[in-house]
Amino acid sequence: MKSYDSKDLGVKVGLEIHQQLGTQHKLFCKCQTLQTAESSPSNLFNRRLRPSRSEIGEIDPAARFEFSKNRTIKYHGRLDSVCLVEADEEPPRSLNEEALEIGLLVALSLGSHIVDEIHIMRKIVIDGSNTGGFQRTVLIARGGELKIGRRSIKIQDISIEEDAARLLNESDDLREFELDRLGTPLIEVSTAPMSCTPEEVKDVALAIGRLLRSTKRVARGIGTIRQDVNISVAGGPVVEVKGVQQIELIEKILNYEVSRQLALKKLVNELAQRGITELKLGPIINLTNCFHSTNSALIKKLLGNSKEIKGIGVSRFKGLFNFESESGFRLGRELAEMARFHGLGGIFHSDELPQYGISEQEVQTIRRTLHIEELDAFFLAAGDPKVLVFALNALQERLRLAVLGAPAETRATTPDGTTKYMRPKPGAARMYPETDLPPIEIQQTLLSKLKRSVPQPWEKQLADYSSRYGLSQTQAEKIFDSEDVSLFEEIVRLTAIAPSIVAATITETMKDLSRRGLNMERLSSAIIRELFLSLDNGLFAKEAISEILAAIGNGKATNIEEAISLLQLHQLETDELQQILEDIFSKNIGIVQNKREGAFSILMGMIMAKSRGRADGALISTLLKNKLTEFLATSDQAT
Amino acid sequence: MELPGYRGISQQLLRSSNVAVGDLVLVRVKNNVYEGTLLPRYEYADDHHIAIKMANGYNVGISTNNIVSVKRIRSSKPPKFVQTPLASIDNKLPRLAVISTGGTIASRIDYRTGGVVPALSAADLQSLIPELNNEVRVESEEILNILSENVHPKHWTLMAQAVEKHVASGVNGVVITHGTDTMGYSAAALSFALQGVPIPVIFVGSQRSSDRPSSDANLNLVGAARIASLASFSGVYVAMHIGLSDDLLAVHLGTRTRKNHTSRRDAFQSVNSEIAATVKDKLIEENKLRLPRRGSTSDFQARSKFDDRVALVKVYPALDPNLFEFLIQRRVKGVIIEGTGLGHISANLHKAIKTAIDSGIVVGMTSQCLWGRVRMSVYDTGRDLLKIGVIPLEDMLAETALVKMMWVLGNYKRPEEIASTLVDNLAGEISLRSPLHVGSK
Repeated sequence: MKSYDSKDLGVKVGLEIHQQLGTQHKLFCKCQTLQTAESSPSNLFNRRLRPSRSEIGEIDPAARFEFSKNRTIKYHGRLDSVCLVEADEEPPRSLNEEALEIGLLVALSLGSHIVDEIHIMRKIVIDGSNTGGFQRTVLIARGGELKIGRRSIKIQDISIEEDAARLLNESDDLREFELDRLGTPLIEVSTAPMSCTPEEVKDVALAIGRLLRSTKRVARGIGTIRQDVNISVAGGPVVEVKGVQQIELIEKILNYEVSRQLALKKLVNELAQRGITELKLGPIINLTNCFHSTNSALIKKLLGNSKEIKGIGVSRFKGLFNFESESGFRLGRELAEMARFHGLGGIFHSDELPQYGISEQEVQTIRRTLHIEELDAFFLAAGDPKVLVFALNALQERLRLAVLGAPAETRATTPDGTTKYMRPKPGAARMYPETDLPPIEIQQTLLSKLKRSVPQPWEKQLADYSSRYGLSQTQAEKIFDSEDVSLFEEIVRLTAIAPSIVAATITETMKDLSRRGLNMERLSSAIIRELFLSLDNGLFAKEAISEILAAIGNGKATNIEEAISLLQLHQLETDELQQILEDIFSKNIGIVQNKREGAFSILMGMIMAKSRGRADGALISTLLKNKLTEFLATSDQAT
Repeated sequence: MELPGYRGISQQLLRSSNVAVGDLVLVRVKNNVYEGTLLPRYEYADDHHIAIKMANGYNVGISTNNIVSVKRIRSSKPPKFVQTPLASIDNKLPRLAVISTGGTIASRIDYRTGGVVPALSAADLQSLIPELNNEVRVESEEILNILSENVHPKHWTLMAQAVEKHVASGVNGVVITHGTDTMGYSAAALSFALQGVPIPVIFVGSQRSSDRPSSDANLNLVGAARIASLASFSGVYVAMHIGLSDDLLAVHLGTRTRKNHTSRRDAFQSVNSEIAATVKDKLIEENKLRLPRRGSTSDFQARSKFDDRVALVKVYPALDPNLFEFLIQRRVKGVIIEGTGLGHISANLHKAIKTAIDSGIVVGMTSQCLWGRVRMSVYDTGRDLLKIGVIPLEDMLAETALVKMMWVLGNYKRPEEIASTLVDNLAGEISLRSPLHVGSK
């Protein structure tokens, strides 16, 4: 998919970066943020959540929608990492001061305007991801800017909030969550809407991530940073895409979403050409009888288990379900996606019928039953009567919005970089004050103290890093961005191994092994640490690093010691090595005589291959050089 | 100019800027601008910030030190809770009286204090939990709107009279919404005042405020309504969660229940008694307590007098004997001692207690162990106290004993009648047997 032109299309993108903080405790209780796995999680309690009103009596549309799904929520957790606060069975403890400090540090480094008195709010989220039915969040600063090269990115807001529980399973009537992540402090940095290319957006995300990491007080590792992306095209409504975990996906998602919104915009133009500014939809009508003698195996299957088929006529809409822009997006597909979201298998629409064994005659019967004309369209769906009406109502609502283009909604990302419908966009009514905690005045003394510890800019820290460890710029960058930065520092501290070797292993070698499809979970920090301690003790040569890790990664060995003995990698004694050298030297005496000093690299390669990482390259080189010099001197004398 | 909660500098600033709470305002500060709705200020908040709600829903406080100007963009009404209109109700459904007294179950945010206060009437609750309307015809009445720590015996009288009135009007059941802190006391009080009540009277509260989606209020209220309208037994009970999950409710005897946790939704437990019944969805399962059955509503009369001249004394090391002197001076008529163990109090207090009893004060003994029965014939201390005239109150909860003392003193005059009624089992508060399976948890 090629990238869009952000200026021509009027694409605006806002980023929200959520980063877990490296605090000792959670945001509103004294549970540790690092999860221990000493016990296995068990089902602690089950809940029902219902929408509550904001202090002005409004109910949030997203909350109302979620409640309509009537789900039970099952919570699992470990007694050592979950307390009554996470269970929403005890009022929150005071806001974690460490988290607030980190947030303020970030705000200071972005030059943001810090809020004088912060108010802890409850953001209503009743999908079960928060036991209370709300996420506590507090706006601490507004504005500020981030310089990336010559560009300046405007920051909108900075907040501190609680991370949600982890979704384990989900079905129509049940959601299951694991509680240990719940309450972990997050910082959210959101940018003002930007007009830039997908690549530039990715760079902004990367730069904000680096700024956060430069505080050295944020969590590292998979899942500790997540991006939400807000996208609008040509002044259209803003679509919120949630939960982009990998920064690499941002470009793909942006391209996908912009094409989708453009296609829906083209449909608006087509409707305008037909003179349609408002869609006329018929009532929901039972069409089950239209199929009483159907030959469609699919329909027969759908009608089993006391299910019904219901449909809706759409005035002057013929051809528009399948109306296709060059990017291949169709409204029919959007509706099918929404139908599946509401618990149906999908929809059938008039633009694709007759098909699936549904006959032309049946299509005509449907048209008569719906009282629609030749230029009208219809869609229908099968399902349990209760679910069906609820879903069709939602589809009606969605279809009506077709005249406006892509509706403002919240969408989820898929692993392949597309987006799918998640829920209606929440309104301002979703926020109300956390009544259990009073507002907090930000003291000037605290700010003055923090101003002295604002982190150096990332570029400066990187330069320091590469000079301190003797790493190249690229290597330093890779280590600095990786989650293993502390592992790197620890190994360098514990061993006498050159930092560049450690860095290369942690970044390049690991990436290479992952590409080869090895199980990276086996290559834990503990294994990497053991690897370098063994190397430092001379148990094998550094040339064998990759081979050892591969043996563990593919399950042939479970630890370094096993790998060494499995691969017969014990270090060669100097006389053993000398023996190999003599052997190769005499077999290849012709090359030596021919190429003289030039034979060095050829012989070196042969000896390295023969010793297979059981000897240090530098040692081989010295021995070989000595041998070569000695031999040439002797033979020169002889001639 | 409406500026609730503001005082001092912030009030002056807002007055001089001619803005009111609820107005959309533009606040200029050094290097920045805030736009939002001016919020009322919490009463206990400081006087040098103004609070606004911004369009993104966040509230922020802005220091008056930094404010350059406050301008009104447009005026509007201050935030006010809006009720949804009630749906029409099937008049074949059972009649349920919902008497509201306040408490967390009816609480929402108060800008006066910044905390939660009772503010939802029974009618509000009915509109917030619409499924109630499919099962019962709710007749709601708000008789009080107070947090339960402020409940006084005179309020028990009001509650009992309200129930009596609804019973006479022929309702199928009564639900009383109540703060949980003293709900156990009130339930005990009405158990004595409403002896022989022919329908279920169910006290219900919530531990987690009803303005949060996870509130226990919904399940508790729906469950209480179902017990009150469907149960075949009568009497005064408390209905609350059994565990942390939103599925099962316990029905506790009004005289046997106690709030045993500050915050959990399953805080209420039955002490020295089994739970009377459980409720899951519409299924009410009774235990073997031989609860009274529903009866005729025609000839029921409440006895709703209480005498509040009663004290509850908890025994502790270093308890001062002069305390009893003081109680005599204050003309207290009854004292419940929450003694140690089997019903003891330090020997250096025996003389003071004797003086109190000799002056006409009725003294009853309960145990701070919560679980178990007082037995004062085992040790010398107990025997001495019996000889002085302290009445052992069996396995009654101290709080229930206190309430019972108030009710007995309000309804009986003759000392021997008072003494014998105190140890009589009137409403399940005393059991003859101490079954093995009812013990401390």
